[in-house]
Amino acid sequence: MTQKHAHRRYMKLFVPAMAMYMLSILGISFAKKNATMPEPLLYGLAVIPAVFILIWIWGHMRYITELDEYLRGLQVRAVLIGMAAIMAVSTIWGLLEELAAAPAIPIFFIVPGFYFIYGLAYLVIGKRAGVKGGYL
Amino acid sequence: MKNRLKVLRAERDWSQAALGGKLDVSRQTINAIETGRYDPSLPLAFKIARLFACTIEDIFEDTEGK
Repeated sequence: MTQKHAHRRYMKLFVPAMAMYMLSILGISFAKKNATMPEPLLYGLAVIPAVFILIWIWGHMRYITELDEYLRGLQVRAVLIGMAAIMAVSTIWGLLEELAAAPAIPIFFIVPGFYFIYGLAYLVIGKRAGVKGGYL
Repeated sequence: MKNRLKVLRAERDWSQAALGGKLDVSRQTINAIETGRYDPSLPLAFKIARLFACTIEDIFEDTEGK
C-alpha cells in the first residue's frame, strides 16, 4: 500500500469520526440541558462520544501499520514521546492533586494532550528526517 | 551503513520516487537510505538487491565490521 493510499484511508475514517464526535457531544449536551434523564442513561450517553474517539485511535494505529518501515519508525518514535510525556504529566499532576491539593484536571484531557505532544514531536522528528508534511 | 543505492539508481535514470514505487516504499525512505540516515530491514534489503539483480553485499557495505 502506498503512503498516499494509507493517508487517504486514515482521513476517510478520521473526518467522519470527528464529525460524529462533535455531533454526539453537542447532542448529548443539548439533551442534558433540556430534559431530565436518569443517571444510568446519562452514563450510557456519555460513552457515545468516546466510541468515536476509539475509532479514531484505531484508525491512527492502522495508518501507522500501513506506512513503510522508515515512516512507521518515525511515527512510532513520536507516539512514544507523546505517551511518555502524557504519562509523566499525569503522574506528576496526580501526585500534586493527592499530596498538595492541586486543582483537579479532568482525565478527559489525556487524549487531546497526547495528540498535541505527539503532533509536536512528529513535526520535529519529521523535519529532522527530511519528511515534509503530507503524512500526519 | 554506506551503500551504492544512489549510484545504482542513477545508472538506471530513476528518480527516488520511481525507485520507491518499485520497492513499495516512500520517496522519503529511499532518500533516508541513500543518505545513510536509515538502514533498511533485511526484507527490504533483499528486495533492493533483487531489483538490481545483485547481492546485498554488492549494495550495502558493513562499515561497523571494519
